Amino acid sequence: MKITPVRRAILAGACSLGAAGLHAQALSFDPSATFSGFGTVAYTQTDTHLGLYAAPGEAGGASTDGTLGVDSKLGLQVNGKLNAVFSGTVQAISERTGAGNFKPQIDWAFAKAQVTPELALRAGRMGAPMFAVSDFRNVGYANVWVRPPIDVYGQVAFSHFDGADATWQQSVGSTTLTAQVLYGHTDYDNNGTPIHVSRQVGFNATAEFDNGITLRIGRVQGKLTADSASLTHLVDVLAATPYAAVGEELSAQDKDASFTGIGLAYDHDDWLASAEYTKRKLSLYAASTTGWDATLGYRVGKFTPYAVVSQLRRDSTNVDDTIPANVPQLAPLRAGVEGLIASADIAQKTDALGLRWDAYKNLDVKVQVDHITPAAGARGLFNNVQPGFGAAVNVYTVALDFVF
Amino acid sequence: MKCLFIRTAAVVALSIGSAGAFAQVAVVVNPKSPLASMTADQVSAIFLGKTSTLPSGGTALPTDLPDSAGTRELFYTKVTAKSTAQVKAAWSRLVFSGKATPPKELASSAEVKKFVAANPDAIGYIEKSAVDSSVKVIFSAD
Repeated sequence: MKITPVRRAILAGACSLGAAGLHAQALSFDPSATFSGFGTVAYTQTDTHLGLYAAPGEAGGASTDGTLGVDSKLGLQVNGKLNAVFSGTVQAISERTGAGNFKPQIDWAFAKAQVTPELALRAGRMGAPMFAVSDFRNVGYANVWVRPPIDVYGQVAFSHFDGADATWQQSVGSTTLTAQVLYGHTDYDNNGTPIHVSRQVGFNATAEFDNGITLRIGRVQGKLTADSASLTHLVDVLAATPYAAVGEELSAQDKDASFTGIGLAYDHDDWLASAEYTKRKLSLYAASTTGWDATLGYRVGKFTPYAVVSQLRRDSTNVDDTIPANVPQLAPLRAGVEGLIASADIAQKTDALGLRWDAYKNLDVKVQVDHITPAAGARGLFNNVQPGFGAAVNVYTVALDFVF
Repeated sequence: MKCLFIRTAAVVALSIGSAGAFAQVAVVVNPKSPLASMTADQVSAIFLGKTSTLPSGGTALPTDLPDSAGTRELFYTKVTAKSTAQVKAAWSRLVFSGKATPPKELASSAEVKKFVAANPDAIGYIEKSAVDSSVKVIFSAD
C-alpha cells in the first residue's frame, strides 16, 4: 500500500473542519492528506442457468454465462488530517449496484475528532458495524476469501449509515478493548427497491488478545421501510378484505428490524480461523433469519488454502397467511401473498474451498469454488430464479485483489 | 499492469539480495525520550497499528523503510513475526476502515535517524550498523 503524502489538505471534509480546528489554539496546524485505494477484478461463473448468483443487493449476477460483474470493484480513499485531533475520510466505491450499473457511490465521508487517546467521535457517512469484517468487507486483499461468506453477509445488503458514533479504545494489559455506539439512518437500493432504515441505534464491542484471538459482539436496530409499489398495492387490497391483518404483517412501513452478531477470529503463525453467528429479526414480508459461517486456513509460504462452511436459515416467514386456500375468489390474493413469502425464502447452505496466493507485494490471486444448496423450495440468495431451480449450484471464481 | 509486475519483480529480487547484508535491526527513538527499552510486543503493537500510544504516554510517530529495503522485511519478520504480506493485509484493514494511517515511509536509515532526532515521539527501525548518537536504541533484534 503506497501512501502518497500530499502537502495540503485536498479533502472537502477537512476544509469544513478548518473552523473547528482553529479554535483549538494549543494544537499545531499541520494538514496532510493521504490517498489510497483497493480493487478486485474477478470472473464468476456457475453451473446453472436457472438463477443468477449475485453479491448482496446487486441486480443481475452470474450463471453458466460468466461475468466480471459480481465481485469486481474499485475503491478510492482520501484521508485528510488537520492536526493530532481532527481528521476526515472519504471513500468512493464502484461496484455493480442494485440498479445494475457501476455508478460510483460514496461509501464513507466522515469527520473524526480524536478527543483523547481513547475516545474518538465521528459524524457523517460511516461503515455500518454489522459484521466481524464490516469495514473492510469490500477490500479483497484484506480478507482470505474472495468475498465474505454471503450466507452471513447477504442478510444485510447495506454497508454504511449516515449519523454519528463514539468509539472508546483502551488497552488492558496486552488486550485491546474497543467499544462503539452509533445513531443514524441508511437509504439504499436493494436490487431495484429503495430501502430506508431509520432511527438506527447500535453498539459494537471487540476484544483483541495478543495471542491472535479477537472476539466481537454487536447489535444494530432500527425501523425499516421498503418503497415497493407492488407491496403497497397488495397491502391496500388486503386492507379492504377480512385479511387486513395479513397485509399488516407483510407491510414494510416503519417496521422493527434488528441485526445481532457474535464473532471469533484467530490469526497466529500459520493458522487462521474465524466464525460468526448472526441473527436478523424483521417484522415484515422479508424473513427473520440466522446466518453462521466458519473458516479455517493454513499459510504455506505465499499460499493459503482455506475452507469455509456457512448456512443461512429461515427462522420465521413473519407472516401468518390466514387466507383460505379453498375459496376460488380468494385464490389470486392468496397466490400473491404466498408468492411474496416464497420470494423471501433466502435459506441456503454453502461449502467452499479456496486458495489465496500472495503473488506480489500488494496483490493477491485467489481461486474459490462454492457449492451452494438452496433449502427445499427456497430461492436462496439467487436472483431471477426460474422454474426448476432447486438443485445445488457450483460457483467458480478467479479473483485478483490489489491495494495501493 | 505489466509495468507494475516488472517493478515488483525487481523489488523482490532486490530485497532477497540485500536481506542478508543486515543481520541485525535496531528500534530507535529520540535521545530525549523517557523510554529506556521496549518489548517486542510493544514495538509490534505500534507498527501493526494496534495502538498509537507509546509506553511513555506520547502519541507515537512510527516510520517505515521502503518495501525495497531488506531491513524492513527483517524487522517485521523478527519483531512482529509476520510476513510483509500479512503486515500489508493488516494495515489495509485499518486504512480502509478509516481507523489509522500506516507509518510514515522514509527513504533511508539516514532519513529515519534525522526524523527521529527531530521528533520526541518518533520511533523507527534501522540496521544496527547505522546506529549513532543522534538516536537511542530501545530494542534490537538479531
